[in-house]
Amino acid sequence: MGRNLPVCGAAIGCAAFALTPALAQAPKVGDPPEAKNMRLVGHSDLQARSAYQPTIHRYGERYIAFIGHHGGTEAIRKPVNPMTGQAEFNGTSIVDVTDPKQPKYLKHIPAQEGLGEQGGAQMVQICDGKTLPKGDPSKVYMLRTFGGQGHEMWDVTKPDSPAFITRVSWDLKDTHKNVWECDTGIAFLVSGVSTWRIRRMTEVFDLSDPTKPVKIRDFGLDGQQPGTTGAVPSELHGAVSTGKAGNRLYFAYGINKGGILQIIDREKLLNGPKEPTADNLKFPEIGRLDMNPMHGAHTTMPLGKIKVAEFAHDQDRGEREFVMIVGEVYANECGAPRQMVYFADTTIEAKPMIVSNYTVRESQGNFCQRGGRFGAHASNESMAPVFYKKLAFITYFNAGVRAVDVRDPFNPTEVGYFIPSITEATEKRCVKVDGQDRCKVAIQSNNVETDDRGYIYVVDRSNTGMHILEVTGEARAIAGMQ
Amino acid sequence: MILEYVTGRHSVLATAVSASAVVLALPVLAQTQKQAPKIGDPPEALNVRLVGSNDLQGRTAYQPTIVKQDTRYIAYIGHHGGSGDFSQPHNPLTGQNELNGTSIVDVTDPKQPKYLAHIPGAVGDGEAGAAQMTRVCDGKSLGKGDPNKVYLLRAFGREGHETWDVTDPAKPKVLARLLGMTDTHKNYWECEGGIAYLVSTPPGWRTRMTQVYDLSDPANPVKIRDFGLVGQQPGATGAVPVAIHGLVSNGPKGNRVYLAFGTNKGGIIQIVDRDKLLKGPKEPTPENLLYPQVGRLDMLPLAGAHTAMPLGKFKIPEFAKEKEGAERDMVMIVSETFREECGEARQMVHFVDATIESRPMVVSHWTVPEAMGNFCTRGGRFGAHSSNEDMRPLYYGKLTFITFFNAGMRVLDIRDPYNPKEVGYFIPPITRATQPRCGMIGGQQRCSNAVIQSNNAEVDDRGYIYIADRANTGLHIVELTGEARAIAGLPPLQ
Repeated sequence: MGRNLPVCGAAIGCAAFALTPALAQAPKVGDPPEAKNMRLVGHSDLQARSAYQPTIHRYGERYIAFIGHHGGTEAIRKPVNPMTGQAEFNGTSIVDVTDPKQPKYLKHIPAQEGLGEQGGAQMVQICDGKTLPKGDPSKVYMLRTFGGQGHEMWDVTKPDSPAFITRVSWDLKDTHKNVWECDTGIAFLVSGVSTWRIRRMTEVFDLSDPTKPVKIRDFGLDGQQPGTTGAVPSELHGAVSTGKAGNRLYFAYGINKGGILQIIDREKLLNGPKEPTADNLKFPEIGRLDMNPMHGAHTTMPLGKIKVAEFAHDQDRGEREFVMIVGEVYANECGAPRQMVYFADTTIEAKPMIVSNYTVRESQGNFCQRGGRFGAHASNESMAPVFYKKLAFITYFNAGVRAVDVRDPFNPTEVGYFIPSITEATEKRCVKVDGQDRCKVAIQSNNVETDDRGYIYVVDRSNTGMHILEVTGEARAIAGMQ
Repeated sequence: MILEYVTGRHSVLATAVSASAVVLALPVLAQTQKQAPKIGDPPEALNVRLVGSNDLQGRTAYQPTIVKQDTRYIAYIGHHGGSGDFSQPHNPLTGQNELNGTSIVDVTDPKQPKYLAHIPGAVGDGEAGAAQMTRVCDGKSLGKGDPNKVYLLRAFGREGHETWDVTDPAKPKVLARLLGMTDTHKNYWECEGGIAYLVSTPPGWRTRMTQVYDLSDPANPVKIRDFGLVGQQPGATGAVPVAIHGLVSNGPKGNRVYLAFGTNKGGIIQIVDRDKLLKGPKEPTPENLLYPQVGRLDMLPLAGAHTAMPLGKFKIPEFAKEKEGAERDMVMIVSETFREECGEARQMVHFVDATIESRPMVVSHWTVPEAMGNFCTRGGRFGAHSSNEDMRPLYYGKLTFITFFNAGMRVLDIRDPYNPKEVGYFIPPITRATQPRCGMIGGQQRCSNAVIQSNNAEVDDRGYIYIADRANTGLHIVELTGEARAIAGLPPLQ
């Protein structure tokens, strides 16, 4: 394990840090975390690899975290894996988090050479064979990206000795945030097929038998398909599916600008005419929201139906349906319009409309000056009852992870946050000042996921590892936790 | 007791003059009541207090427009048609029972408003009659008007629009009448240059739309063109897009007109290039109707668009350090509630980021919290109706005043339109003149409690706010206190 840091685990107690206000100055190595209603339970340094997606999967009594990594940095292209003693290109970290106070690093599966989003294996999704319609019921499967190039299927039944199964799709460009429905095996793979006009679109696959991938169709916005002309609509970032029962997919296009939310009838997408003509691409679309082009759509997370307390005495009782839209900020040090979180009322799906917004208050921590990116990136996507429709967790780069009370999506309220401490491993972020690099070191909380026990896993883009958190105080009460 | 109607159909006994002195001594409820108010209750208020009032002869009131004429301030209040026993209230100035029309009130001394004249309007109940809309311009700014005159543009029932000479506000004289249409509503008149946007349905058009007129000489109206959404024009087929409610222009300098369609549902706002609207090809073909459109926002169809009020450019405090996007162009959309006792989706206020005009997007909303006053069960309508439209510096970009029917008039701090905040409110007390709302309510044919139904509000350049009541309670002139007053930069009250 080598680089795991001493953390404020339960044995030590975190009371001293629990209400630390956000710092007005850029933090230094050795500073405590900045936190409100959230506290650190455990930490893994992830071998100081730049981390993107944490996915936590339950294996009976065990909980295993799979963390997808971006590629390496200029300074360290191939970090050393202390378990093998080898320098390895970033890939997937597999960590046993059964005891969240003492996460145990099990395995690193290297992936493609390349820096940042060009290399590594950023996305990872896990399904049990017994849930997949045609999987081996004794096995657990991992779908991961391989650099920009393709998507791979692995057998991770034994998480400390994963075994490669097959390539799902290959010779692509810019793979990104896939979705894999474990109960049907349908996967929505995000990448660019070479004949399409866009860096990222959707390949729909049937992965119900993970050993025998079957392609169903290509999908994208009209104007992105081969043979079209004119301006190309915003590229896809990712999607969230409500599965067979919900029959909806929420696609997010235009990551950091030109955001579009598209609501799709899943049945029509899977079973409708597949040839990528303009008509066929529009056929499954139910609704669409074109955002102010200064804002992007990175994650479009369905919150489902919510009874809005403010409308309790309306004659129709005021049940509304919501989608949370998270934009991703690209520029360091507030060099671009603020990316934040918007809540769309999708009660009438054909015409979704934003009704509210949430952003971290910049002045709370002088985040524009701290270094690196400040702004939203992603939300947790777990629909496990512990947090779903109550608290959403939003990564905000140098402002850490934020706990937002979403019980009334017309009035989202921040109820907690956690900005991990930087370490010696934390990588600098630079901006050009008078043609010269001016660099600062700051946390860059990248993605976040939760498990069904209520732990929150936040991973750092600037190499600080994975922090396992729990909510306290008011935030804990909102989740109904002891 | 203020403005008390004592029995009888038409007699107003208490005058505003005697009322105002008493009013200021009345206690003000520090917080909103949980029960429906009774006659004799004090107003419910926060950071707003009553200065004066006028009963407007017990006429249901829509639009107050306040103008300065020489050294005097005159309020022109458009009325809806009266109903039932109140179809022709008594005008004590003439001794006649008159159909509702336009009230003209001298508000130079806002503590003692003086009723000057009533111009009767058209026959008809509610929005079908009277003369709900008023706009007033000086001859010297219109261009071709008599520079010594002041002109009133008003709706005449559903039938049309009229111009009046109101230079002597006690003796208005009609100048021109444009009749033969239906569904007249919320006109707009640019005083600088005289372009008018008349809202109604002329023969041939499939729904309420906009007739653009040159009223630079109010005695001689010159038609410029007809305008509407594609599908509303004569000869179009299929579903008819939702009717316009009204519009706000920011004139030749701003070169934008903000049109609001779908008053209580199916809301749409359209941002139009004014120059292209006035000078573009006029034949109402789909192409020509689309030509001046700069942007359009289709709202969630549960929400309507009654007013689309341009708020102009804002430096959003939260974005101050961003290298791009720190300044945003904002539009406020106010929807109108039609149904009593929360019988439809809550109509409220939405704030739109229109920085990139081709893609306006709602970013925030504001509503009165219902629980604050049990407004759904108080009676009458609860929900937004309209905003003040004044763009002079005193309040513009700082405070806006929203009428919310039974929740009175609300003061919003809009300095950060991403996070609008209520900083004050005023719910006038009911009087014996206050009429209950009747009709299909909660699935039954019945009447609701008699409650305040604050309908429209406007401000003057001194900072007074004028609230007109739909339920016949008259006109209330109020002023800001405390935090709300400080936001406007007004000196503290003694």
